[in-house]
Amino acid sequence: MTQIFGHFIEELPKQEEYLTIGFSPSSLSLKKRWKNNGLSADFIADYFKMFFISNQVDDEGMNNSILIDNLWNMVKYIANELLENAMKFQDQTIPITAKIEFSLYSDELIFCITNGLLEEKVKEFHVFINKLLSEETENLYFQMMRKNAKSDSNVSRLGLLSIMYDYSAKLGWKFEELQTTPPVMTVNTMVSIKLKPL
Amino acid sequence: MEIKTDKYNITYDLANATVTCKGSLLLNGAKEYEPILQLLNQAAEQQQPNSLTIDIRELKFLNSSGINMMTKFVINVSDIKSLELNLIVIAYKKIVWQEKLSKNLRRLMPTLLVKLE
Repeated sequence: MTQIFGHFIEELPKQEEYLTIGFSPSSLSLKKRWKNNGLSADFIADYFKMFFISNQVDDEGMNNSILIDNLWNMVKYIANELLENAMKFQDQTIPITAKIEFSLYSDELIFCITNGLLEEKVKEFHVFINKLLSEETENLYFQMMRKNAKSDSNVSRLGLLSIMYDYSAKLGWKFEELQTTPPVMTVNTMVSIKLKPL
Repeated sequence: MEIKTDKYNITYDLANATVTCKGSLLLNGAKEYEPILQLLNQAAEQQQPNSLTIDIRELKFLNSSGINMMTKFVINVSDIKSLELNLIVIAYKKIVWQEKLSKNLRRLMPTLLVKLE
C-alpha cells in the first residue's frame, strides 16, 4: 500500500546533478550515528556549493558572497534535520538502507530522504503530517514552541516546521509497505525549495 | 561559568552579564541541551532585575533542538518565571538564520532587544 501526502513528486524530472548517500542498518549506537549527520550534511552543502553555486558565479564572486554562505547554511540545516529525523526512526531491526538524495535543478533544490519506520510509529506520524498540512505554519510553529517550553519531552517537532516556515519549503511524504517477509514500512520525505538566480 | 567541548563553547561572563555562544550546536534532543539551558536560566536569575546579553554572533550552526532550547529559555524568562530582566540578543544581520532566530525569539518575548550588527 502506498500513501502520499503534501507536495511529493513521484517521478522527479531528469536532473543534471544529484548526490545520494546511503546508511546501512548497523549496530552503532544512536550517539555514534548522530555524529555522522553533521558530517553528511556538511558534505551535501559542500557538494551544493561546488556544483550549483560555482556554475552560477565566477571565482571572484565565490570569495566574498554572504549569499553563498547563507545558501550553504540552509542546505546544511535542511539536510541535517532530515538526517536527524531519519536516524531517530531508523531502527537496527528494520532491514532498510536509509538514504538521502539531493537533486539540483537550475531553479530548485530537492531533498528526498528514505528510511524505515516501525509499524507502531506510522499512525502518530500521519497525525503530525495532517497537522502540518492543514494548519497555518506560522501559528503551528509558535504554538509548538510554547507547548515545548512547558514540556519535558526530548522531542521538539520543530525541525520540519522550521524548514517550512524559516525557509519557505514545500514538504511531501510517501509511505510504502515493502512486500518483504516480514513487510517493512518505509517513508520518503521530500523537501523542495525554489531558488532565485544568484 | 563555561561549557566547553571541541565543537562548541558556551561562556557566561557574570561581570559583563553576557552569555557568549560559539561553534556548532548539533546535539540530540532536549536532554543533551539541558546543561546549556540550565546555564542560561541561572544567568537570567542572577542578572535580574538588570540586563542579560546573549551573543550568538560566533555561533556557526544551530539545529532545531538548539532552536527549541533557545525558545524554551525565552519563554521561561518571559512567561513562566516572569523575570524582570532586559534580555538582549546580539547577532549578525548578514547571517540569515541568526536574524530569523532573533526575530522569532522577539516574537515570543516582545520586550527582547535584538541587536543586529
